[in-house]
Amino acid sequence: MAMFMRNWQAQIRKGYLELVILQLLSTHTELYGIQFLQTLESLGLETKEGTLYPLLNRLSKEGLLKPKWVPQEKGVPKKYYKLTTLGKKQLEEMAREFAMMNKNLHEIGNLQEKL
Amino acid sequence: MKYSKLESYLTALERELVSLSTGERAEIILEIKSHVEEKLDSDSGASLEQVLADLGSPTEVAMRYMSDKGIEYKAQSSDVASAIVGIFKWSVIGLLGSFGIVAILALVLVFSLSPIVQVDEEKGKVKILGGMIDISENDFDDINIDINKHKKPEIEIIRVIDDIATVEEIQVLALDGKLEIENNDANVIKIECQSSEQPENDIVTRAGAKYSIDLKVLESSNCEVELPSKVKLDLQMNSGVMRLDELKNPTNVSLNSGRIKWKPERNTNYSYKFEAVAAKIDSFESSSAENSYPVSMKINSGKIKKW
Repeated sequence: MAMFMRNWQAQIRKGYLELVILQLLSTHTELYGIQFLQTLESLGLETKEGTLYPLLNRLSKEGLLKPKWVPQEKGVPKKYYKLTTLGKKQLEEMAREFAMMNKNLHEIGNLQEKL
Repeated sequence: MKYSKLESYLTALERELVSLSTGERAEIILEIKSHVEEKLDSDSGASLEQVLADLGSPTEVAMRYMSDKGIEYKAQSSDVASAIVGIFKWSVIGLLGSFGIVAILALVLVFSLSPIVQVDEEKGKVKILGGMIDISENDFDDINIDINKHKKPEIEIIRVIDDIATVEEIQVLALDGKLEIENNDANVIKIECQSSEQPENDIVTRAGAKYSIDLKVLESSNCEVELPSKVKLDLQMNSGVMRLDELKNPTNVSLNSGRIKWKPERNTNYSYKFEAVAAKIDSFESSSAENSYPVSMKINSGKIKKW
């Protein structure tokens, strides 16, 4: 992939990934790191572990996600994430914003016809 | 050894996360460790080296944790004025950014002797050496919903046990919040909770010789529980604060993250056993006397405190 494309994709994915994570939690209620990674991969949004975990950490700090440690029979406990009420609200706003961007892109096509 | 690589990876990561609080650091290390373990267990083909390489270098991962702020995005900036404001703003951000990098480098130097994470391969646990990490009491408060923020409806349950001699164990299960336990002289189970949830099922149930007090239905709650002495207790909670006040019982305590506050009764002997992943434990006087109550406490991350 060309350098430009890679940069562009990294930038646009950053915000998009946050939207996708919140959206996933609105349908799955509770997920932990590896479940996110697998789901994202199955959606064609392969994400690096080193990107996902800091992102989950930040979304929790912002109060959009609520983490919960769940002990396992064997080994280290797992950290599950859930949407908070604020997270739900924010998700609605983000989805609206994203829909608007999509609409704008389509409108450009119409615009050209008029000019 | 297979795990020494993981150990040095986590040690390096822990060292790089200098600007974060100790509690947050411990949680990150635990989450990454949990990730690596599951990867090794499930992907039979994945080697430790591969899993660590996928994560990225400790420096890279730590930088993401410390600097992940997202991109600035300005929705409408068409006129010249806002362009100038934009240029000014980005200059300031650039300047502050340079200071930030210098500050981070300085911190990396200062903290180059920071605590070391040890991985116990047999038990699969991370230990933070020698209590050098002092997990502050407040570090874990942000994991839980603040239970005292709103005044919640009271729940009061009183159950008289008239055949106490036949009771072998009382189990208390709780999710998040605050749980306070003390003895009473009457053979009574008394529960007082502040919680947003109203229980649909019985909180106190009995099966044979065992009583079970299930506070999990309350999710996040603030409960005070009084229990008879002498009976064996099994206290389990996910996260929050457990405050155990002069209990005269053989006691098993298990907390995932948060604080266990244990107050010994002055004239009672206890023999203690502790199991911890990333926790700081105060020193307790263990007795080998025959009349001592066995007390075992298990915690993943947080603190066991004497008060």
